[in-house]
Amino acid sequence: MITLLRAVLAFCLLALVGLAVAWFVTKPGKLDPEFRAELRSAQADVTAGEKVFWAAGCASCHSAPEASGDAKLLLIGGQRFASDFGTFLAPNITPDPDHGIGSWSLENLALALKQGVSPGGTHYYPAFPYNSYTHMTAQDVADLKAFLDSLPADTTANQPHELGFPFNIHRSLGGWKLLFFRDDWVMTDAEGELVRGRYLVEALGHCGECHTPRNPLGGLQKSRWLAGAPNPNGEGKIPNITPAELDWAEADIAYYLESGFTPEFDAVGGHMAPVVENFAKLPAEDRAAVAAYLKAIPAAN
Amino acid sequence: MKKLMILALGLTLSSTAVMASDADIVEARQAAMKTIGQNMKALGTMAKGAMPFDAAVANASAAAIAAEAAKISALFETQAHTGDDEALPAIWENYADFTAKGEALASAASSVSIASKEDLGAAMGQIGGSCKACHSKYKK
Repeated sequence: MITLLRAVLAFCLLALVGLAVAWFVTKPGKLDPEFRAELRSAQADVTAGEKVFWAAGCASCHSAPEASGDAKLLLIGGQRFASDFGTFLAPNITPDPDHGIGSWSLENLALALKQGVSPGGTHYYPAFPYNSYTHMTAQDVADLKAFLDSLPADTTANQPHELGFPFNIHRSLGGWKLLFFRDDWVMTDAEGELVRGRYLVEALGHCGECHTPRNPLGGLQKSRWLAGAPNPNGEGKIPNITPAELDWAEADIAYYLESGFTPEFDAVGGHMAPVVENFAKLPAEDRAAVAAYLKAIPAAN
Repeated sequence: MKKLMILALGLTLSSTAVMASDADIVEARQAAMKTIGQNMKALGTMAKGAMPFDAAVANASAAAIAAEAAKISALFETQAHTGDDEALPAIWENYADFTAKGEALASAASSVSIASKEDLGAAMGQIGGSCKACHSKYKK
Protein backbone atom coordinates (compact mmCIF):
# COMPACT_ATOMS: atom_id res chain seq x y z
CA MET A 1 0.00 0.00 0.00
CA ILE A 2 2.76 2.39 0.94
CA THR A 3 4.61 1.41 -2.22
CA LEU A 4 1.56 2.33 -4.30
CA LEU A 5 1.20 5.64 -2.51
CA ARG A 6 4.85 6.35 -3.16
CA ALA A 7 4.45 5.53 -6.80
CA VAL A 8 1.45 7.86 -7.10
CA LEU A 9 3.32 10.61 -5.27
CA ALA A 10 6.38 10.16 -7.46
CA PHE A 11 4.20 10.30 -10.57
CA CYS A 12 2.47 13.50 -9.41
CA LEU A 13 5.81 15.07 -8.60
CA LEU A 14 7.18 14.18 -12.02
CA ALA A 15 4.06 15.54 -13.72
CA LEU A 16 4.40 18.78 -11.77
CA VAL A 17 8.05 19.09 -12.69
CA GLY A 18 7.10 18.40 -16.31
CA LEU A 19 4.48 21.10 -16.25
CA ALA A 20 6.87 23.53 -14.59
CA VAL A 21 9.51 22.80 -17.21
CA ALA A 22 6.93 23.18 -19.99
CA TRP A 23 5.78 26.45 -18.47
CA PHE A 24 9.35 27.64 -18.16
CA VAL A 25 10.51 26.69 -21.65
CA THR A 26 7.43 28.15 -23.32
CA LYS A 27 7.94 31.46 -21.49
CA PRO A 28 8.05 34.45 -23.84
CA GLY A 29 11.61 35.56 -24.66
CA LYS A 30 13.27 38.82 -23.70
CA LEU A 31 15.59 41.32 -25.33
CA ASP A 32 19.18 40.93 -24.31
CA PRO A 33 20.67 43.74 -22.21
CA GLU A 34 23.26 44.65 -24.82
CA PHE A 35 20.56 45.16 -27.46
CA ARG A 36 18.50 47.26 -25.05
CA ALA A 37 21.50 49.47 -24.47
CA GLU A 38 21.94 49.87 -28.23
CA LEU A 39 18.27 50.80 -28.55
CA ARG A 40 18.62 53.46 -25.87
CA SER A 41 21.59 55.07 -27.55
CA ALA A 42 20.20 54.90 -31.13
CA GLN A 43 19.43 58.24 -32.80
CA ALA A 44 16.26 57.55 -34.80
CA ASP A 45 16.15 58.81 -38.38
CA VAL A 46 12.71 58.84 -40.00
CA THR A 47 14.08 58.86 -43.60
CA ALA A 48 16.20 55.80 -42.91
CA GLY A 49 13.13 54.29 -41.21
CA GLU A 50 11.16 54.57 -44.44
CA LYS A 51 13.80 52.42 -46.21
CA VAL A 52 13.60 49.83 -43.44
CA PHE A 53 9.82 49.93 -43.76
CA TRP A 54 9.84 49.14 -47.49
CA ALA A 55 12.63 46.58 -47.23
CA ALA A 56 10.75 44.79 -44.44
CA GLY A 57 7.53 44.82 -46.47
CA CYS A 58 5.37 46.01 -43.54
CA ALA A 59 2.76 47.57 -45.84
CA SER A 60 2.38 44.43 -47.94
CA CYS A 61 0.62 42.70 -45.04
CA HIS A 62 -0.61 45.50 -42.79
CA SER A 63 -2.29 47.84 -45.29
CA ALA A 64 -5.99 47.29 -45.97
CA PRO A 65 -6.85 44.55 -48.47
CA GLU A 66 -6.21 45.81 -52.03
CA ALA A 67 -4.84 49.17 -50.87
CA SER A 68 -2.67 50.93 -53.43
CA GLY A 69 -0.75 54.21 -53.67
CA ASP A 70 -0.84 56.34 -50.51
CA ALA A 71 -3.38 54.00 -48.91
CA LYS A 72 -0.45 51.57 -48.53
CA LEU A 73 0.71 53.80 -45.69
CA LEU A 74 -2.53 53.40 -43.75
CA LEU A 75 -1.68 50.25 -41.83
CA ILE A 76 -5.13 49.30 -40.59
CA GLY A 77 -4.72 45.54 -41.13
CA GLY A 78 -7.46 43.18 -42.21
CA GLN A 79 -5.65 41.19 -44.90
CA ARG A 80 -6.23 37.47 -44.55
CA PHE A 81 -3.43 34.89 -44.70
CA ALA A 82 -4.50 31.30 -45.14
CA SER A 83 -2.24 28.51 -43.85
CA ASP A 84 -2.41 24.85 -42.88
CA PHE A 85 -3.13 25.95 -39.31
CA GLY A 86 -5.97 28.38 -39.98
CA THR A 87 -6.35 31.92 -41.28
CA PHE A 88 -4.37 34.80 -39.80
CA LEU A 89 -5.69 38.36 -39.95
CA ALA A 90 -3.13 41.15 -40.04
CA PRO A 91 -3.63 43.64 -37.18
CA ASN A 92 -3.81 47.45 -37.15
CA ILE A 93 -0.28 48.84 -36.62
CA THR A 94 -1.13 52.53 -37.10
CA PRO A 95 -0.09 54.95 -34.32
CA ASP A 96 -3.59 54.90 -32.79
CA PRO A 97 -2.96 54.27 -29.05
CA ASP A 98 -6.01 52.02 -28.53
CA HIS A 99 -6.50 50.16 -31.79
CA GLY A 100 -2.99 50.36 -33.22
CA ILE A 101 0.46 50.35 -31.66
CA GLY A 102 0.71 54.05 -30.78
CA SER A 103 1.12 53.31 -27.09
CA TRP A 104 4.11 51.02 -27.66
CA SER A 105 7.58 51.97 -26.46
CA LEU A 106 10.62 51.39 -28.63
CA GLU A 107 11.39 48.33 -26.51
CA ASN A 108 7.87 46.99 -27.05
CA LEU A 109 8.38 47.19 -30.82
CA ALA A 110 11.83 45.62 -30.59
CA LEU A 111 10.50 42.74 -28.48
CA ALA A 112 7.72 42.12 -31.01
CA LEU A 113 10.08 42.18 -34.00
CA LYS A 114 12.99 40.31 -32.47
CA GLN A 115 11.29 37.81 -30.17
CA GLY A 116 7.71 37.65 -31.46
CA VAL A 117 6.33 38.72 -28.08
CA SER A 118 3.59 41.30 -27.47
CA PRO A 119 3.87 44.10 -24.89
CA GLY A 120 1.47 42.05 -22.74
CA GLY A 121 3.88 39.09 -22.84
CA THR A 122 2.07 36.72 -25.20
CA HIS A 123 3.65 34.95 -28.15
CA TYR A 124 2.80 36.09 -31.66
CA TYR A 125 2.12 33.56 -34.37
CA PRO A 126 5.01 33.16 -36.80
CA ALA A 127 2.78 34.46 -39.63
CA PHE A 128 4.38 37.66 -38.32
CA PRO A 129 7.91 37.00 -39.61
CA TYR A 130 9.87 37.55 -36.39
CA ASN A 131 11.92 34.49 -37.34
CA SER A 132 13.49 36.83 -39.88
CA TYR A 133 13.17 40.17 -38.12
CA THR A 134 15.05 38.69 -35.15
CA HIS A 135 18.23 39.69 -37.04
CA MET A 136 17.25 43.38 -37.12
CA THR A 137 19.76 45.87 -35.81
CA ALA A 138 18.82 48.24 -32.98
CA GLN A 139 19.38 51.19 -35.31
CA ASP A 140 16.89 49.81 -37.86
CA VAL A 141 14.28 49.11 -35.19
CA ALA A 142 14.64 52.67 -33.87
CA ASP A 143 14.45 54.15 -37.39
CA LEU A 144 11.43 52.02 -38.24
CA LYS A 145 9.67 53.14 -35.06
CA ALA A 146 10.22 56.77 -36.01
CA PHE A 147 8.74 56.15 -39.46
CA LEU A 148 5.75 54.15 -38.17
CA ASP A 149 5.03 56.95 -35.69
CA SER A 150 4.91 59.44 -38.58
CA LEU A 151 2.12 57.54 -40.40
CA PRO A 152 -1.62 58.30 -40.06
CA ALA A 153 -3.50 56.74 -37.13
CA ASP A 154 -6.74 54.85 -37.54
CA THR A 155 -9.28 53.32 -35.15
CA THR A 156 -10.12 50.16 -37.12
CA ALA A 157 -10.46 47.32 -34.60
CA ASN A 158 -8.38 44.15 -34.93
CA GLN A 159 -10.15 40.98 -36.00
CA PRO A 160 -9.31 37.66 -34.33
CA HIS A 161 -7.34 34.97 -36.17
CA GLU A 162 -9.46 32.05 -37.34
CA LEU A 163 -7.63 29.09 -35.81
CA GLY A 164 -8.75 25.71 -34.51
CA PHE A 165 -7.51 23.78 -31.47
CA PRO A 166 -4.64 23.43 -30.51
CA PHE A 167 -3.25 26.27 -32.60
CA ASN A 168 -5.44 28.78 -30.77
CA ILE A 169 -3.44 28.26 -27.55
CA HIS A 170 -0.84 31.03 -27.53
CA ARG A 171 1.35 29.29 -25.00
CA SER A 172 1.84 26.36 -27.40
CA LEU A 173 3.82 28.79 -29.53
CA GLY A 174 6.49 28.72 -26.82
CA GLY A 175 7.03 25.08 -27.74
CA TRP A 176 7.10 25.97 -31.43
CA LYS A 177 9.71 28.64 -30.79
CA LEU A 178 11.76 26.21 -28.73
CA LEU A 179 11.82 23.84 -31.69
CA PHE A 180 12.25 26.26 -34.59
CA PHE A 181 13.01 29.82 -33.53
CA ARG A 182 16.73 30.54 -34.07
CA ASP A 183 18.72 33.71 -34.38
CA ASP A 184 21.67 32.36 -36.35
CA TRP A 185 22.22 33.23 -40.00
CA VAL A 186 21.70 30.69 -42.76
CA MET A 187 24.69 32.10 -44.66
CA THR A 188 27.24 31.78 -41.88
CA ASP A 189 30.11 33.62 -43.60
CA ALA A 190 29.34 36.79 -45.50
CA GLU A 191 31.70 39.49 -46.71
CA GLY A 192 31.41 42.69 -48.72
CA GLU A 193 28.01 43.23 -50.34
CA LEU A 194 26.91 39.77 -49.20
CA VAL A 195 26.61 41.18 -45.67
CA ARG A 196 23.97 43.62 -46.89
CA GLY A 197 22.42 40.99 -49.19
CA ARG A 198 22.12 38.55 -46.32
CA TYR A 199 20.54 41.18 -44.09
CA LEU A 200 18.01 42.08 -46.80
CA VAL A 201 17.12 38.49 -47.71
CA GLU A 202 17.32 36.72 -44.35
CA ALA A 203 16.17 39.56 -42.09
CA LEU A 204 14.19 42.49 -43.52
CA GLY A 205 12.94 40.99 -46.78
CA HIS A 206 11.99 37.75 -44.97
CA CYS A 207 12.24 35.94 -48.34
CA GLY A 208 12.66 32.54 -46.66
CA GLU A 209 9.18 32.75 -45.12
CA CYS A 210 7.61 31.94 -48.50
CA HIS A 211 10.49 30.60 -50.61
CA THR A 212 11.73 27.99 -48.10
CA PRO A 213 9.69 24.81 -47.59
CA ARG A 214 8.31 24.10 -44.12
CA ASN A 215 8.03 20.86 -42.14
CA PRO A 216 4.60 19.56 -41.03
CA LEU A 217 4.76 21.72 -37.88
CA GLY A 218 5.47 24.89 -39.85
CA GLY A 219 9.20 25.11 -39.08
CA LEU A 220 11.46 26.21 -41.94
CA GLN A 221 13.57 23.43 -43.51
CA LYS A 222 16.78 25.42 -43.52
CA SER A 223 18.68 22.65 -45.36
CA ARG A 224 16.45 23.55 -48.31
CA TRP A 225 16.86 27.30 -47.90
CA LEU A 226 14.96 29.21 -50.64
CA ALA A 227 14.38 25.99 -52.60
CA GLY A 228 10.70 26.81 -53.26
CA ALA A 229 7.52 25.72 -51.51
CA PRO A 230 3.82 25.20 -52.09
CA ASN A 231 1.84 28.43 -51.95
CA PRO A 232 0.10 28.45 -48.54
CA ASN A 233 -3.09 29.79 -50.14
CA GLY A 234 -3.16 26.76 -52.41
CA GLU A 235 -2.66 28.51 -55.74
CA GLY A 236 0.47 27.51 -57.58
CA LYS A 237 3.99 27.14 -56.25
CA ILE A 238 6.47 29.62 -54.80
CA PRO A 239 9.57 29.16 -56.98
CA ASN A 240 13.00 27.89 -56.08
CA ILE A 241 15.33 30.92 -56.10
CA THR A 242 18.59 29.08 -55.41
CA PRO A 243 21.07 28.66 -58.29
CA ALA A 244 19.51 25.21 -58.81
CA GLU A 245 16.64 26.83 -60.69
CA LEU A 246 17.18 30.58 -60.81
CA ASP A 247 19.74 30.85 -63.60
CA TRP A 248 19.30 34.58 -64.28
CA ALA A 249 22.33 36.86 -64.35
CA GLU A 250 22.83 39.04 -61.28
CA ALA A 251 21.88 42.13 -63.26
CA ASP A 252 18.65 40.42 -64.37
CA ILE A 253 17.69 39.63 -60.78
CA ALA A 254 18.33 43.23 -59.77
CA TYR A 255 16.34 44.49 -62.78
CA TYR A 256 13.44 42.18 -61.88
CA LEU A 257 13.36 43.56 -58.33
CA GLU A 258 13.25 47.07 -59.77
CA SER A 259 10.94 46.70 -62.77
CA GLY A 260 9.01 43.49 -62.16
CA PHE A 261 10.17 42.09 -65.52
CA THR A 262 11.78 38.67 -65.86
CA PRO A 263 14.57 38.31 -68.46
CA GLU A 264 11.82 37.15 -70.87
CA PHE A 265 9.78 40.23 -69.95
CA ASP A 266 6.99 38.39 -68.27
CA ALA A 267 5.60 40.79 -65.66
CA VAL A 268 5.64 39.85 -61.97
CA GLY A 269 2.41 38.44 -60.57
CA GLY A 270 0.80 37.24 -57.35
CA HIS A 271 2.28 38.08 -53.98
CA MET A 272 5.66 38.87 -55.51
CA ALA A 273 4.18 42.01 -57.15
CA PRO A 274 4.01 44.00 -53.88
CA VAL A 275 7.50 42.72 -52.99
CA VAL A 276 8.87 44.21 -56.22
CA GLU A 277 6.95 47.41 -55.52
CA ASN A 278 8.79 47.62 -52.19
CA PHE A 279 12.21 46.76 -53.56
CA ALA A 280 11.82 49.33 -56.35
CA LYS A 281 11.84 51.97 -53.60
CA LEU A 282 15.25 50.89 -52.29
CA PRO A 283 18.65 52.05 -53.55
CA ALA A 284 20.08 50.14 -56.56
CA GLU A 285 22.94 48.81 -54.36
CA ASP A 286 20.38 47.02 -52.21
CA ARG A 287 18.84 45.21 -55.17
CA ALA A 288 22.33 44.31 -56.40
CA ALA A 289 23.20 42.98 -52.93
CA VAL A 290 20.13 40.72 -52.93
CA ALA A 291 21.10 39.46 -56.40
CA ALA A 292 24.65 38.75 -55.24
CA TYR A 293 23.33 36.87 -52.20
CA LEU A 294 21.01 34.70 -54.33
CA LYS A 295 23.91 33.77 -56.60
CA ALA A 296 26.10 32.91 -53.60
CA ILE A 297 23.78 30.51 -51.76
CA PRO A 298 24.07 26.76 -52.37
CA ALA A 299 21.86 25.20 -55.04
CA ALA A 300 19.09 23.24 -53.34
CA ASN A 301 16.09 21.26 -54.46
CA MET B 1 -30.76 1.05 -78.04
CA LYS B 2 -29.47 2.62 -81.19
CA LYS B 3 -30.63 6.01 -79.96
CA LEU B 4 -28.87 5.43 -76.66
CA MET B 5 -25.65 4.54 -78.45
CA ILE B 6 -25.86 7.65 -80.57
CA LEU B 7 -26.46 9.68 -77.44
CA ALA B 8 -23.48 8.03 -75.70
CA LEU B 9 -21.31 8.64 -78.73
CA GLY B 10 -22.50 12.22 -78.88
CA LEU B 11 -21.69 12.77 -75.19
CA THR B 12 -18.23 11.26 -75.60
CA LEU B 13 -17.52 13.39 -78.61
CA SER B 14 -18.75 16.58 -77.01
CA SER B 15 -16.78 15.98 -73.80
CA THR B 16 -13.63 15.32 -75.84
CA ALA B 17 -14.35 18.51 -77.72
CA VAL B 18 -14.67 20.43 -74.44
CA MET B 19 -11.40 19.00 -73.11
CA ALA B 20 -9.55 19.83 -76.28
CA SER B 21 -10.93 23.32 -76.30
CA ASP B 22 -9.79 23.96 -72.71
CA ALA B 23 -6.24 23.29 -73.82
CA ASP B 24 -6.79 25.35 -76.96
CA ILE B 25 -8.16 28.27 -74.99
CA VAL B 26 -5.22 28.26 -72.59
CA GLU B 27 -2.77 27.88 -75.45
CA ALA B 28 -4.26 30.86 -77.28
CA ARG B 29 -4.04 32.96 -74.12
CA GLN B 30 -0.45 31.97 -73.52
CA ALA B 31 0.44 32.74 -77.12
CA ALA B 32 -1.00 36.25 -76.77
CA MET B 33 0.86 36.83 -73.50
CA LYS B 34 4.07 35.57 -75.09
CA THR B 35 3.71 37.99 -77.99
CA ILE B 36 3.20 40.82 -75.50
CA GLY B 37 6.30 39.63 -73.61
CA GLN B 38 8.43 39.50 -76.75
CA ASN B 39 7.46 43.04 -77.70
CA MET B 40 8.05 44.21 -74.13
CA LYS B 41 11.48 42.60 -74.39
CA ALA B 42 12.21 44.57 -77.55
CA LEU B 43 11.34 47.78 -75.67
CA GLY B 44 13.24 46.68 -72.56
CA THR B 45 16.46 45.72 -74.35
CA MET B 46 16.55 49.20 -75.92
CA ALA B 47 15.68 50.86 -72.62
CA LYS B 48 18.52 49.00 -70.89
CA GLY B 49 20.88 50.03 -73.68
CA ALA B 50 21.58 46.43 -74.73
CA MET B 51 20.32 47.38 -78.21
CA PRO B 52 20.56 50.76 -79.94
CA PHE B 53 17.40 52.86 -79.73
CA ASP B 54 15.22 52.68 -82.82
CA ALA B 55 11.97 54.70 -82.72
CA ALA B 56 10.34 52.70 -85.51
CA VAL B 57 10.95 49.38 -83.73
CA ALA B 58 9.77 50.86 -80.44
CA ASN B 59 6.51 52.18 -81.86
CA ALA B 60 5.86 48.95 -83.77
CA SER B 61 6.38 46.97 -80.55
CA ALA B 62 3.95 49.19 -78.65
CA ALA B 63 1.40 48.81 -81.45
CA ALA B 64 1.82 45.02 -81.38
CA ILE B 65 1.21 45.04 -77.61
CA ALA B 66 -1.91 47.14 -78.08
CA ALA B 67 -3.22 44.73 -80.70
CA GLU B 68 -2.69 41.67 -78.49
CA ALA B 69 -4.09 43.41 -75.41
CA ALA B 70 -7.29 44.19 -77.32
CA LYS B 71 -7.88 40.42 -77.55
CA ILE B 72 -7.62 39.78 -73.81
CA SER B 73 -11.34 40.06 -72.98
CA ALA B 74 -12.29 37.60 -75.71
CA LEU B 75 -9.45 35.19 -74.85
CA PHE B 76 -10.51 34.94 -71.22
CA GLU B 77 -14.27 34.95 -71.74
CA THR B 78 -14.60 31.23 -70.97
CA GLN B 79 -13.10 29.96 -67.74
CA ALA B 80 -10.66 27.25 -68.74
CA HIS B 81 -7.68 25.69 -66.97
CA THR B 82 -5.12 23.06 -67.84
CA GLY B 83 -3.66 22.55 -64.39
CA ASP B 84 -0.35 24.23 -65.11
CA ASP B 85 -1.84 27.47 -66.43
CA GLU B 86 -1.31 30.59 -64.36
CA ALA B 87 -4.76 32.15 -64.56
CA LEU B 88 -6.40 32.59 -61.15
CA PRO B 89 -10.13 31.82 -60.73
CA ALA B 90 -10.42 35.39 -59.38
CA ILE B 91 -10.53 36.50 -63.03
CA TRP B 92 -14.05 35.14 -63.42
CA GLU B 93 -15.14 36.32 -60.00
CA ASN B 94 -14.26 39.90 -60.99
CA TYR B 95 -14.59 39.66 -64.74
CA ALA B 96 -15.54 43.31 -65.27
CA ASP B 97 -12.47 44.47 -63.31
CA PHE B 98 -10.30 41.98 -65.19
CA THR B 99 -11.43 43.15 -68.64
CA ALA B 100 -11.05 46.78 -67.55
CA LYS B 101 -7.43 46.00 -66.71
CA GLY B 102 -6.93 44.36 -70.11
CA GLU B 103 -8.41 47.40 -71.80
CA ALA B 104 -6.18 49.66 -69.69
CA LEU B 105 -3.15 47.87 -71.16
CA ALA B 106 -4.53 48.22 -74.69
CA SER B 107 -5.11 51.94 -74.26
CA ALA B 108 -1.75 52.50 -72.51
CA ALA B 109 0.07 50.73 -75.34
CA SER B 110 -1.83 52.47 -78.11
CA SER B 111 -1.52 55.96 -76.59
CA VAL B 112 2.29 56.01 -76.35
CA SER B 113 4.34 57.74 -78.98
CA ILE B 114 8.05 57.03 -78.70
CA ALA B 115 10.43 59.52 -80.29
CA SER B 116 13.34 59.37 -77.84
CA LYS B 117 14.90 57.16 -75.20
CA GLU B 118 13.18 59.22 -72.51
CA ASP B 119 9.83 58.53 -74.17
CA LEU B 120 10.77 54.87 -74.16
CA GLY B 121 11.38 54.88 -70.42
CA ALA B 122 8.02 56.55 -69.80
CA ALA B 123 6.26 54.13 -72.15
CA MET B 124 7.84 51.14 -70.39
CA GLY B 125 6.55 52.46 -67.08
CA GLN B 126 3.05 53.01 -68.44
CA ILE B 127 2.74 49.69 -70.24
CA GLY B 128 4.59 47.71 -67.56
CA GLY B 129 2.40 49.27 -64.87
CA SER B 130 -0.70 47.90 -66.63
CA CYS B 131 0.89 44.44 -66.89
CA LYS B 132 1.65 44.37 -63.18
CA ALA B 133 -1.71 45.82 -62.11
CA CYS B 134 -3.42 42.83 -63.68
CA HIS B 135 -0.82 40.12 -62.92
CA SER B 136 -0.66 40.96 -59.23
CA LYS B 137 -4.34 40.16 -58.88
CA TYR B 138 -5.04 37.55 -61.49
CA LYS B 139 -1.86 35.62 -62.18
CA LYS B 140 -0.38 32.89 -59.98
